[in-house]
Amino acid sequence: MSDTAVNVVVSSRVRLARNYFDLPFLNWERPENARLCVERAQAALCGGDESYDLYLMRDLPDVERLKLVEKHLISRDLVERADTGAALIRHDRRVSVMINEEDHLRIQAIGSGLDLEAAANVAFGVEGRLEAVCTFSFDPQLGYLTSCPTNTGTGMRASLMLHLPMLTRYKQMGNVNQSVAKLGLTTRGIYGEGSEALGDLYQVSNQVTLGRTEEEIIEAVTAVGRQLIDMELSLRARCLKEQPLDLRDALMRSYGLLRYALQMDEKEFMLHWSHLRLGAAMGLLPVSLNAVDDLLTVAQDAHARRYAQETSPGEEADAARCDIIRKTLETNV
Amino acid sequence: MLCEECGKNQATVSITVSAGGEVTTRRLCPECMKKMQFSLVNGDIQGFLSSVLSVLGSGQKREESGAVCSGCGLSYADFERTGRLGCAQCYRDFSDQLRPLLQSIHGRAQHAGRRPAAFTPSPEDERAARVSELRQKMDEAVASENFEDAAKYRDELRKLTEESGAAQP
Repeated sequence: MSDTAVNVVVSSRVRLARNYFDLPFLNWERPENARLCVERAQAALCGGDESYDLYLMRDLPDVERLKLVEKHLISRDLVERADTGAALIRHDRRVSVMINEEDHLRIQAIGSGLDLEAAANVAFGVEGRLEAVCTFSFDPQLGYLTSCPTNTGTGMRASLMLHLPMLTRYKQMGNVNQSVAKLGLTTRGIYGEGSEALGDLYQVSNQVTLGRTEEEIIEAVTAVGRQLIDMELSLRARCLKEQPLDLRDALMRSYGLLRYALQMDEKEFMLHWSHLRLGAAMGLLPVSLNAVDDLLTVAQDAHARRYAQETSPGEEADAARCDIIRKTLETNV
Repeated sequence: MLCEECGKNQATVSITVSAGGEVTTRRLCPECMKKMQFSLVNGDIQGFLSSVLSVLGSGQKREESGAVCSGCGLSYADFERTGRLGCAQCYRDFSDQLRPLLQSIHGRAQHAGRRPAAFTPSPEDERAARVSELRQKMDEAVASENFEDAAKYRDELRKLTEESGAAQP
């Protein structure tokens, strides 16, 4: 399973919601408290063995904030709270701590493939460093107290980003969503709550945070992830067996467009990206999975706009996107 | 009768929420019912939470909805509107309303996960946690018709309650 899991699982993520015990939860209208939240986190994490960079949302240009969203290092909600929002991001980009989002701290660890346990251990390590210098709001009966009661308890959200093109093609996602909901889990689009499942990408995560241990939550999400991986892989094999020409034709068409098109909007890109990843995972297209997963970040809108500003000012983002894709596909065969 | 959510259309469906032993029913029009289902299916926690809150809230007494947090000044009505609590004290001051809500969201209302490294629970905390855990297990055993285990949990609960009563001055 572990070898084939990467063909379906794009990433494993764990985030912990924490609040300082002595400050009100929401600091959007209390700049002095918001500043304190940043200073405490900075004091705990900066200057140790691991290096973190501090990003104050109000000092970042719009395009740079959105680049961080596209890298899944911060949320759209943090961008909307630009006056007080901040993020501490570890140099390897595997850990980010959002500050003054919905809670004082949102500790997030991200890893590739199916390994929520490793991501959770990294997040707990970061939590430990923060805890060494601050006290979090905790109640023995209700656990970690959070601004929204849907996060109370462990404050933990364990999520898998899954690429499920065949479950989508065979119209199984409706059933999947219903079954997953019955287990206290949820499926969402690529950018979380309320977002579209662009590129056939779905996030499966726990809905319930109270009354279960962190280990139980991770086990539940991993078990569902494994089941979805099995279902997706068996549908891929079925499709290749029953409709080999149709499948190869669809994948090659998308590959051709991605290699030679001169302009493409984000929605169309995501459609072809899904075929590209499917082709790479099935060994039907000459591109590596890592390169395809990198494209998912670097060919998004904000990255394309920034690329255009740096390399050919005046170029439209849709054209810059095609430059980025072409270069990737030429060099990552 | 008219829909209790929008007050405009004819109510044709009813939704019942059972929380904390209290059962509340609201009558809704198909449109408002659809909105509530849509928010749940699409993982819109905020929308779903507001819907659940509105169902639970409709059964609250007037004085309860006027409650205000002594820590941050947030009113329970504000929480019902935004779905966000203001501070840790809100959890204590609104505990009567929040416990059934937490139970309905998570299915349980007793933390089972990690604790801060520096946190030392008092014997009373430990006892309350054990009581809550046993109640949960007893309910689950009854629900799955495992009456032998349910009786075991009941006896243990009784013992704990008696011990606690004896320890009182």
